[in-house]
Amino acid sequence: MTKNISIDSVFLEFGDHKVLRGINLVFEQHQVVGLLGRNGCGKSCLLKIIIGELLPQSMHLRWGEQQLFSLYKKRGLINYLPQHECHPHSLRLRSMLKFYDVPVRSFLDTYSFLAEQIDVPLFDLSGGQRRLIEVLVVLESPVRFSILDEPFSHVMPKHIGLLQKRMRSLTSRKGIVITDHQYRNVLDISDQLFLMRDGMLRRIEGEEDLRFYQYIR
Amino acid sequence: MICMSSLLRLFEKRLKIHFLYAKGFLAISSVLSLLSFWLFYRIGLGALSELIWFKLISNSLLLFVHQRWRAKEIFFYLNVGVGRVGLLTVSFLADFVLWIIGITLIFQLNT
Repeated sequence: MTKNISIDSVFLEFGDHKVLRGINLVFEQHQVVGLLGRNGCGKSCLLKIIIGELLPQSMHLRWGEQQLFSLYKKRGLINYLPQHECHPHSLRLRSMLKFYDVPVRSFLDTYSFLAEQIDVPLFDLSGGQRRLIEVLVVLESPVRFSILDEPFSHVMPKHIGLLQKRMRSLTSRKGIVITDHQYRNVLDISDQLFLMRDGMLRRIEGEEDLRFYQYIR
Repeated sequence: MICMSSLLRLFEKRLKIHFLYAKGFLAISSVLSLLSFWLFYRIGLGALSELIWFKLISNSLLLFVHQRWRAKEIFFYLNVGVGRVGLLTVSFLADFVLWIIGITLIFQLNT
């Protein structure tokens, strides 16, 4: 039986500034859920609340029927990629794969173009290569949900297409939550799409809705 | 048997993760350890309680700075199953145990 992550009644304030005003959201295991929103609207805060790294004024977080305070506490449930690089630069792709329990052979079968970089320390790679490797390793790891904050940033267009395809195919075994400013890339692959505006989530069906809410012109 | 080998693999993985986190901290704290070993060698048992306090306080300060400095990497460690408290506790204890072993060896050398 597949279980969902559900989060409701999320209220977050920093002093007088109300960032989130009653967010309700359900992540289903075989879906890609996209979150869009302007800079500073609270997307990353919401993701950090979901994984348990930011404590809001109020929240109810559940995995199936079980109430949780941090999704990291449940082993094998989630991983999270923040919008900044988060892997020590001394790491190599091979050791990253081992830490994330991803079989090296099958990873290289899927991404043969990374074979040359398998034993290169991250600090010897370009920013774009590092980001691509981070996204792929987090995506391929055997957890039920991957939460990705701006996975397409710094990645070249050719590889963005690859990431999109892989995200779609990985929904057979996991749920994926993404947020990114490249809204078309998010729109293309999302089963459910939400726009965060004025601290609340609005369901988006297509570009028309984004125009209506003045996210795009 | 399979269970034992997977436990060993898990232990090895955990050890590598903790070492990856602690190596920067261990490099600096080992310099302080060497300094305190030298002081203990010169002064002897009379300096022990001051040296213990020195080690405890300097380790705490170093770990505080270290975790601030590597704050962005915390999501990697959380992703691979090791939390903040675990990282800090293991780093602190590993260094302190090594320090106690060093002090004991110097004490035996002196007597």
